[in-house]
Amino acid sequence: MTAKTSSRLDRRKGSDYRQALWHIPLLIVALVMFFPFLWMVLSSFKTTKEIVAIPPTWWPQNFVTIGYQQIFTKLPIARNFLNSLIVCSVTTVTACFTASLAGFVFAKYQFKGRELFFYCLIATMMVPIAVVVLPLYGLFTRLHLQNTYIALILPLAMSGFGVFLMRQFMEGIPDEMMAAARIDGATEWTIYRKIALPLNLSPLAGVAVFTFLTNWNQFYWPLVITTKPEMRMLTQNVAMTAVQLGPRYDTLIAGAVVSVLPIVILFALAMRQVVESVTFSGGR
Amino acid sequence: MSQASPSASHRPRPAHRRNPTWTWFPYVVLAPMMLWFAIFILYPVVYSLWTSLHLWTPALGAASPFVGFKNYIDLFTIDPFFMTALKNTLRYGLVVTAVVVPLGYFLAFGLRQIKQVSNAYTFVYFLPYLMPATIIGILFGFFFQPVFGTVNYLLGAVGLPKPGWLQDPRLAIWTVATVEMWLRIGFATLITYSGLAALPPALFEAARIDGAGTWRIFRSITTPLMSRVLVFVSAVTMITALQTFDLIYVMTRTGGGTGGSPGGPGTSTYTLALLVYLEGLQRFKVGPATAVSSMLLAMVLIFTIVQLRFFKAKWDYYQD
Repeated sequence: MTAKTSSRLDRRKGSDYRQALWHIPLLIVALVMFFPFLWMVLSSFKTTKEIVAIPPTWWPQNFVTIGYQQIFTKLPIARNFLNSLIVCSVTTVTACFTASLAGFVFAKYQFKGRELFFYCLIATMMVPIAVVVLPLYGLFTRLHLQNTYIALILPLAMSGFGVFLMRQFMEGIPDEMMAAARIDGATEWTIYRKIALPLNLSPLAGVAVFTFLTNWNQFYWPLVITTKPEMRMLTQNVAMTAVQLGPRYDTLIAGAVVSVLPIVILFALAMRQVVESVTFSGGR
Repeated sequence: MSQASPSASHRPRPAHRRNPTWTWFPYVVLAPMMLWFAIFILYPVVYSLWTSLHLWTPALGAASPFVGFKNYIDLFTIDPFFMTALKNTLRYGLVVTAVVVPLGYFLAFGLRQIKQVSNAYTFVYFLPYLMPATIIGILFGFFFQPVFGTVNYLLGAVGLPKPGWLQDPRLAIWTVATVEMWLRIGFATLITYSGLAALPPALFEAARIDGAGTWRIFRSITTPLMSRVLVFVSAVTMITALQTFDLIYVMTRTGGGTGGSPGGPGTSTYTLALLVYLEGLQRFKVGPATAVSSMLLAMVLIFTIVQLRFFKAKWDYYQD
């Protein structure tokens, strides 16, 4: 261990106690970051009476699952879960497809308007959602598309972040490889499918996970375009019933657990991809 | 790219014919995407700008009379909500950024000092950033609940006063801002950490040999080299904080169980993004609402320019 430490160039020798000292603020922050999750999971097994108890309890006094039973009887939670799953899956597929294709042509082809088109597509991640909701609400209501999957999906179907990220990676495809493929009679589409795509599956996985997570958390647009509880997305409906349910805290917290569980699992499984794509492009 | 302009051809030909690898492929591929862009980004932006300059009524629609900057002037002079929303949005964005970036930088620096950054740290620090702000708003609504909330319980235990975090109009916006910080810390930490990891180690070795201590190195070498990264993270944090909607909406409505109105108590937690919703979709005052959203767009654009100027590609001094 000591040999390893001293071999590291940017570390000072014999500063083990300093490192230990750094763990103190880091652990305190980690605790603050993690506390809400722990509290949420534990509280979801409490009765409402225990949740509001003074002094607050930490571990559930009597372990109940009434909250979880309630969300399935009082809310169209299964339907909301399905809605979120549909919207997020479809947008993930479309965002990955368009991002890889656009990234590929922006990186590997010379054509008129390339810069303009590129900036248009990455502007997608810069225009605030608050700016687009009003006109899009008008558009979709005029087309009688409120409370439809089309309305939920279409505005979220592309990822400017994805286009940006994929262009960076697609630049690494050797021109010679593409030229060779063309000599062998490959069409541009075949080059995309057989060369560009397989070589960049890892960053594409990052785009996929990120799109899924971002859209799982959507609130403003679904709030505007859905009026029926059964067409709401999962996190949206849990948030909105927070008002309607009143003091049924057990139900509310159980709903919160169910709606963040998929994110926690996905992040745990794909942490490397998420962290890499965020650090690589500095955001979404 | 490298196949451009072959020397074999002497006769002048149409531009696209000169290059043997020229194809329609990029245009075919991009056409549907540009159509999507036109409908879902360009149209809303143009529509908002157009409507904000007209006295829009549903009956007249596109025939509404042009009124110039009247909607904007009204926002600053007679609108009862706008100045509150603007002040809140700016203060919220500035305070969140001013806390999140230095704290994230401090944590990233700390993470660089320890021997091995375990995955548990990465997981716990970054998890909040990926959480739905709505659910986080609900949870913190419980923590900040004045009677049975964890925060006031802890304050009471050490004998401090127990304020109504979301009920006091002077406190409510800062209570929400605290939660926003909690959500954004992980992002600032992650980006500054990767910035620190990209700095050339040779510089630090040289400084060590010259006898500089950790604090001296941090002040005179690390921080100047990190300035671009820090500006970048600040811009991104500012952009997200300016657009805050979900947190405000949920926390002020539920506030730990008390069913209030979004932006409450009163108008004390109005922000620009929330005002767009309330004016445009609740009160159907489309002209003022689009003027507000255009102002928000302008503000975000300013910080986006900063963000792009200080983008990561420009601060990668060193690659492992």
